[in-house]
Amino acid sequence: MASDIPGYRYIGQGYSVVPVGRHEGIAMNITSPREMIKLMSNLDKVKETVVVTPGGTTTFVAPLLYKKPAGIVTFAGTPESHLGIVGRNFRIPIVMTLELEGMDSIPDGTPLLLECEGKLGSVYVKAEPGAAQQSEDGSVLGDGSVLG
Amino acid sequence: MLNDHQFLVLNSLYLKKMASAGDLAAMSGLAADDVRPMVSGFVDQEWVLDIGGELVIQPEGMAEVEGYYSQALSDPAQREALAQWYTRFESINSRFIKQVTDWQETEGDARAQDRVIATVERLIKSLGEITQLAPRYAGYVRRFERSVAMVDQGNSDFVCTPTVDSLHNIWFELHEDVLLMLGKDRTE
Repeated sequence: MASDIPGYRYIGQGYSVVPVGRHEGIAMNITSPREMIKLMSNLDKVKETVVVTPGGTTTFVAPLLYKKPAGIVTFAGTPESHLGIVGRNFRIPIVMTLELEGMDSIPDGTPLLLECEGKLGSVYVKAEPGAAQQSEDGSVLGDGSVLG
Repeated sequence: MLNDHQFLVLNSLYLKKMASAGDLAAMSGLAADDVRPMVSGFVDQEWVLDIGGELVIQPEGMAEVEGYYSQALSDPAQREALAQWYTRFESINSRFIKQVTDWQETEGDARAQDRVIATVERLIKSLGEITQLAPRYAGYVRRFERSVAMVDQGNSDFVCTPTVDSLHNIWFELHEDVLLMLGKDRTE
């Protein structure tokens, strides 16, 4: 299991489509093609958004990749898919079949960090300023916060 | 209710979600001079949003396309024939997705590319079985053949680059089209 990183709390892991490192964005749950079209009409918002698809079908968000969202998180599907093929081409951070730990869903507006390395991708929530964080061994981070 | 040409153009945007008028002309096989005024009409009716030449289909436009699809295959025998074709397509679809993924992961290996082309050529033959149910499916054959020719000429962008009329794009749109004809949802 991945662990927290300074300023971010680990919330789960899934398949990474393409190894593009760390990218940040703001979560928005998109559950239907109509919601996807609405987001697509606001190109500035797309670029800062990590699209979260809570349902089992993930392909419908593929057209959004043309506008380079900050990232995509799905709870189903594999990189060997239409979404994976398009994501690999655009080198968009995508974490598929995310298994959340310690939470049931990702609310809209949550600041996220996606870490896509190798075949696995990890998702982190940005810690609120001043929030106490403590690492597994209880050590305090160098930035003054404590990992939790 | 959309007429056949309006459907071809608006459906092209429905499948792609965002495109230029030129893209829609190329996809639909209609002349650009015919497509542009049609698109202006769609914008006036708020079926399509025009963002500086990039067209985005709107919920009202999606409803028009879905209404056309819902009446396109009313004959139960034809619907059954398409459903049977789709069952066969599903296995070839899984193979195609795997082959394109392999092609990407091997950075365009020649043998991987040959396998992709062979699968597309098999689909082109198979499409002949359903063009009598929906003659517009001949348009997919035309696009596939053009893109296969581009790949054969050494332009590997036409395998799966999303910004050109690549084999993967065409395949994706055909898949979506048949699902809509059958009123089925995707499972992936």
